[in-house]
Amino acid sequence: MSTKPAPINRNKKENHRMGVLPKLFFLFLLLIAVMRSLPIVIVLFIGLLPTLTLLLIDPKNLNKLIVVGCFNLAGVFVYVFNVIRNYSVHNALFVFGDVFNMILMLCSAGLGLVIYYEMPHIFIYLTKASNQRHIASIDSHIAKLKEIWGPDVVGK
Amino acid sequence: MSDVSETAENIVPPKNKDNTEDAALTKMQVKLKERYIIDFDEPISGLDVNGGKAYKVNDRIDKDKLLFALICSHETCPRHSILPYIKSVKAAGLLNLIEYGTVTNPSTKENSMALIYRRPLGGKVIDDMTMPFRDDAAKIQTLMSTLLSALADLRSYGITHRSIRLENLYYLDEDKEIVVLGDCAACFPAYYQPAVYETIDSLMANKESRGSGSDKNDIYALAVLALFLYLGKESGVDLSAPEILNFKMKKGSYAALTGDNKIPSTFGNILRNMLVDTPAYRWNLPTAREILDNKNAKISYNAVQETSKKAFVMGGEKYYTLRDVSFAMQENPKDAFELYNGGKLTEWLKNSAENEDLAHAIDKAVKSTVDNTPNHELSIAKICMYLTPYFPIKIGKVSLFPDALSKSLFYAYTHHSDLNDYSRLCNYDLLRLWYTVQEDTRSPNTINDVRGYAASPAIGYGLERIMYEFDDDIPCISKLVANDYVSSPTRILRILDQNYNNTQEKPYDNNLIAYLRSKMGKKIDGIIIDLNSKIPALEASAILRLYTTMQNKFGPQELPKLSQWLSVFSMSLIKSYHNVKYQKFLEKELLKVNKSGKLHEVQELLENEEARKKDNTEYNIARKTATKLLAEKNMLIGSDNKWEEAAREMAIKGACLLAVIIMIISFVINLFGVLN
Repeated sequence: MSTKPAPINRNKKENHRMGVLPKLFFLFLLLIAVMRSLPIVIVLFIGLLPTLTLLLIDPKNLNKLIVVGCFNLAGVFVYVFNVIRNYSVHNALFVFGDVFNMILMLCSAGLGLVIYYEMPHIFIYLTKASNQRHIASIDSHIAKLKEIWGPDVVGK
Repeated sequence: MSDVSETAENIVPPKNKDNTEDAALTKMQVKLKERYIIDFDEPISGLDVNGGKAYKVNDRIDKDKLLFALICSHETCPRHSILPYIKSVKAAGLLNLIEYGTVTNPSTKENSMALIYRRPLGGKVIDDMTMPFRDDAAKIQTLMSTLLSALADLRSYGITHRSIRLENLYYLDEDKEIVVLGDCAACFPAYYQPAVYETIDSLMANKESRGSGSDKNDIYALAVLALFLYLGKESGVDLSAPEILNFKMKKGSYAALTGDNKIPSTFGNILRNMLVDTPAYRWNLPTAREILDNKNAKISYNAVQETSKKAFVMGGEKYYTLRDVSFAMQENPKDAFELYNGGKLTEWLKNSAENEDLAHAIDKAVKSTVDNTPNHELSIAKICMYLTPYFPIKIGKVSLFPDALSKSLFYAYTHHSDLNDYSRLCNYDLLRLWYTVQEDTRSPNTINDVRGYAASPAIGYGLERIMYEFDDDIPCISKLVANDYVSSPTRILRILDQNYNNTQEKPYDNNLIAYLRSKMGKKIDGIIIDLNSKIPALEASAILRLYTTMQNKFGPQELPKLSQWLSVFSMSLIKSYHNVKYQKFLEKELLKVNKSGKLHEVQELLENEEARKKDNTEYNIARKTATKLLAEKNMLIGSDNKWEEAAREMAIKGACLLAVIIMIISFVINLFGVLN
């Protein structure tokens, strides 16, 4: 008995693929949105350059991206809302006219990077110290048990 | 004449001693049962008998009573179990046993059994060379009737005398009118009997293994005694036992003993009937009494011939009777086994002795050897048992009657003899077989246990157990009781207390436990199981329980040295508590408790159930805690990378969280800034 051939997945995928027109339509809409929010986009684009760089060079390290990105954003938000208050391209460009603003945005990302790398070392150090205290406490407890119950209490 | 015949005045204690009842005893005087004073400074060698030494005795209540004490030797042991009965027997022909008990000989410091007898003033009959009975058969028959009556009195208690000989026959009065038989309890049955007084089968056994026998053994000895009284001399005593045995086997006992002497026919027939070598045809006690008491009875003797047509030839010698064949086979078991294997014995039994049934029974018994391996020793022992059921069992150098097994073992232990023959004898199960071939002897109920006891190496078993279990006469011969004569468990603790000198390890040994098990019965089986556990604490607990029970039951109230001994031995019991502080507490408390000498206090201290339960519970908790802590420590020490990795992951997660929070805070603050 013959069996019917399975439907070809490629056709389905092709069906779900956007056509050229919708793509162009979406691109157009995006362009309009960018144009409409250009001051914010400028601030975000320039302010989030460290995060974007990280996204390009180490996209798989999600934790690193989160830490650096979030810190970077925290620094950029100050200027984003400043631009929202005085909404103009001129004002957006004015933000980057001050080097201190650039340093603040980049440093926030740098702080994130430092925290990402140093936090584990601090944690390991603290845990090690805690473990040693715990081992000393265990030794002292076992010594007391031996004193009361003899050496066999810990097995032979 | 010996010093026995000294006058009554001579043996009455001096007046200065009598006047005050509480007069202090001299160093050589020993009091028995608060009444009889045995003076070890005044031996009466003329009354020494059955290995015992005779000493003068003063009765503190009846001062005119003339007594002597027979101090039993340690060569054998007294027949302790029959003493109460002998004491109660008041027969005319028997020396009265007045009292008995254990005393310490002041010179040797040994404890021995002392038998207090009425003193025979006329001395021993054998010392009186005038021999009033010589050639007077009628007088001898009257005496025999009296002595038979005494033997019957003993027999009513199931006791045989087994020491009937001229040396043990006394004139009770100074006029030498009353003749009595002397002691029968100071040694093993028939141990000191000269060979002439013993039957052929008894002579075939080792002298310590002759056993109590039956009334027929006493009848035989009485006949020999009567014959010697008639002849006026004791003949044959200078010959060795094998010589006499040979002589009796060749000629028959009567002919061997009478020799060329002429004996009146009636008296001769009496003796013939009493001296028959086959026990089945010998008069027993009731028959002898009936005939001797009836003076008009006609006494005849019908010789029983059991000879075969053809001889059984062995080692060039010819044998015509089952008895002779059996004897020859016992003497040369290897040759005998070859002859049996060659079928010559079976052939002789069937064709010459005309006893086909016996031949079949022997074949069946020999083939039923447990492992079916040829064993000439066992096979010949079985064959001889069927040929002559009344013969003793012979294995190696041991030849014994089963009722003498315990005494024989006692003798072997005390004389440091080889015990291998006894082990084999018990393992072969020959004792049970011996009883099955007897027609008129019942086996003890415990006979089936012999093999098991002998095979067991456990404490409380072995040959020692057999020795004590099958004979109440055997005193304890454990090394721990040293030279003491211990005939009941009541004195054991007191002796152990006396004998402790800080050097002994265990307060018990196999011998002592076997003795106690045989005397105290099944109730100490649990204790014996614990003693065999090989767990020191359990062993210590068991012996402590046993001795505490014994002290509670038998006393004495204070046993400080034994208490100390048990405390030292109980260190393992103390160590069985887990709590070290409690162990030290117990050690300190024991020092206090030992001074009181009360074993139950030691037991209560060391075996406190509540303390034990608490200790175990707390110890289990402590162990669990320790195990948990160790596991935790091992985790922290042994696997660094894991916790480092965990810390790292946690740190990164923390960093992520911190970053998100800071971002949100920044967002919110700036949002508020915009809104305001």
